[in-house]
Amino acid sequence: MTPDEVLARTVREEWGRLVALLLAQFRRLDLVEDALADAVEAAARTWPRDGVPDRPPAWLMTAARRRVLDRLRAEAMAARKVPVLVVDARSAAAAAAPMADPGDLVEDDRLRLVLMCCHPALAPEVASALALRLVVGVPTPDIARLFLVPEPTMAARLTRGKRKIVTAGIPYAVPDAADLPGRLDSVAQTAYLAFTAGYAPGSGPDLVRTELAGEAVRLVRVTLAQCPDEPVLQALLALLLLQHSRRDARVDDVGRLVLLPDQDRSRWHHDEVAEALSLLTRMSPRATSSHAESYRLQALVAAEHATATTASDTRWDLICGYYDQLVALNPSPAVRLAAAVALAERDGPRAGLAALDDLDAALPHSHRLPAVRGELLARAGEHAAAIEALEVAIARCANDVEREHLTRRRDELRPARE
Amino acid sequence: MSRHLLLLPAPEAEWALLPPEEHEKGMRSHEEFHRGLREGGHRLVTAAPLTPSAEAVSLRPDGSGGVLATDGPFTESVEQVVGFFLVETDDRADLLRLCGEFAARGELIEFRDLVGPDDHDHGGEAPA
Amino acid sequence: MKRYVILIAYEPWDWSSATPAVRQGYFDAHDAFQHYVDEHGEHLGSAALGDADTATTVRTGAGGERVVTDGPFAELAEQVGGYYDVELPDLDAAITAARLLPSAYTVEIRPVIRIEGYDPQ
Repeated sequence: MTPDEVLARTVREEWGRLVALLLAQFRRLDLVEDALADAVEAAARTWPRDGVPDRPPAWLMTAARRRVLDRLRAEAMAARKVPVLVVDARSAAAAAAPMADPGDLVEDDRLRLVLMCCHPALAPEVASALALRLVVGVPTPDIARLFLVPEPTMAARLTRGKRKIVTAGIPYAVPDAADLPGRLDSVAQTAYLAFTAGYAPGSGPDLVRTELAGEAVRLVRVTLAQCPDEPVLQALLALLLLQHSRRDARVDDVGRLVLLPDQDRSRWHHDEVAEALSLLTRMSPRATSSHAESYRLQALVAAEHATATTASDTRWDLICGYYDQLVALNPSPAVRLAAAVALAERDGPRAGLAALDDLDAALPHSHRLPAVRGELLARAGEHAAAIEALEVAIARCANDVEREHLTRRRDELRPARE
Repeated sequence: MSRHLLLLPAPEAEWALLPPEEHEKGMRSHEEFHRGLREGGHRLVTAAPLTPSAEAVSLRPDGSGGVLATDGPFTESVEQVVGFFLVETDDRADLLRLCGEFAARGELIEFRDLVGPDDHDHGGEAPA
Repeated sequence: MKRYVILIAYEPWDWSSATPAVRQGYFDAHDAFQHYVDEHGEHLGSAALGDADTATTVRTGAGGERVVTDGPFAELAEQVGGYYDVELPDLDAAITAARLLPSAYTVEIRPVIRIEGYDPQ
């Protein structure tokens, strides 16, 4: 691997751990990210010249620490008192040990970071954005796309969130066992958004950032290990595993998107499918929150896809039933779009198209809506209209692999116009 | 190995009245100075801000064997020392260059050499 | 330690018509709150406030003059009825303490900040 590739992979895999360690030691939410970003910049300059260090994460850690110390010394001269994070003494001491390696972190520390970001005193959209930024390291423009807001809005949201954490004294700590279950709905939502960011990222050339999706799965596992009987976490993990199990079949050998019906099912991770199915059957009967029920229904849909031996064996009738329940629970545009797709599979393209009609106002920037419409129009034999819809989708799509697929599909339809 | 005292004279009243952007600019300039010290292998022995000169006490003989203590610094001037750095180095030229860059960014610096190449501060820490 | 002002709000009701048992319930809740604060931090100050109809508002009129009127500045169903000024380790501690107060209250937890350049002490 080239130095740039090593750096990119280190950043993807280690960002959350490095943030957690730096926060525990310095307690400065405002400085930590900038310091890490500077360290990454320095690495990009020096590693190609001096060679990749033996332990890349430790190198980044040391460089980031030095930058924070430079800033603290500058502030000392100005005698400024800046508000810091509330951190319990034990983890602060452990993090300050000079040889502390990111690999020595206990899982507890990243859980601490997740729980801080998902505190109920933060508005839900702020919590999710912060967790994605700090724990998983998703770039701000991608988070903005995920939430369907402009980038400056998202940047301001992140800044306000950090300011609230420090000013209000939201602690960087694991709460009492009694308070933990209540925090978990928020953590689950955050992890789900993080997974979606990796599973179908908004920008850039990779359709599936598997490391990012894998991080989200790990996050849920870590949290579930602390709270093994929580339905919201069990259902979410099942859902994520089922979707994640298809990661090696979503893109072909030359990097083109492969849709579910055409995927090579031998490339699916069947051990993960089995684990997910086992979770679903074992789920505790405790009264579930609407989030837990939503994840459970989505997992049941995914389970139908995963257990169908071929695409044509898929039980669309059962899937439509699950979507009816999902829409009743949460009639969001994204859910209704997915329900329309299932309806088209069961009842034909015209039924699906009718279900799409109300969604344009709710999803003005989405590329997926015109993409689905284009596909259904093509199936209904209306190729001119299909091409129009696909062109809207292409114009709106920011992901290179998805856009290439849509372009190919549009070009396939062109000769049929004559 | 030589030691140098860097004094920062500054117009005290002005700093407080500057807008936040100027404070941030100043902070970043100091950060850069610290980075330069680190990368140049210069050892920062100690550094500190000073409380305002109005809180200083000036002591002098009163002419009849006693002491005259007055509030404030000896010299009345707009610029008073607001802080200092004590730096140890093998490369005076590089340290002076760094200070020059610091000053170019807007800082006032008085650069003083301590007497003798093996100077120890007898009241303070042992030499490195 | 962080300093918080905990503002208490509730819909005005007639304390004088409350039974002794109801009043004791309120006293016990406040005791529990104070006890928690003493155990985990420090109680800096507190007060119960006269009802909103005993309030007087001073505001600045269109011409820049100060105008005095009867009543609170915001006509809301819930009125601020008291405050606690406390030091506690973090927001979670403040929330735990706030949960001990009577359930009829709506409680707002505000961090106390220092204004740079202004030190009232």
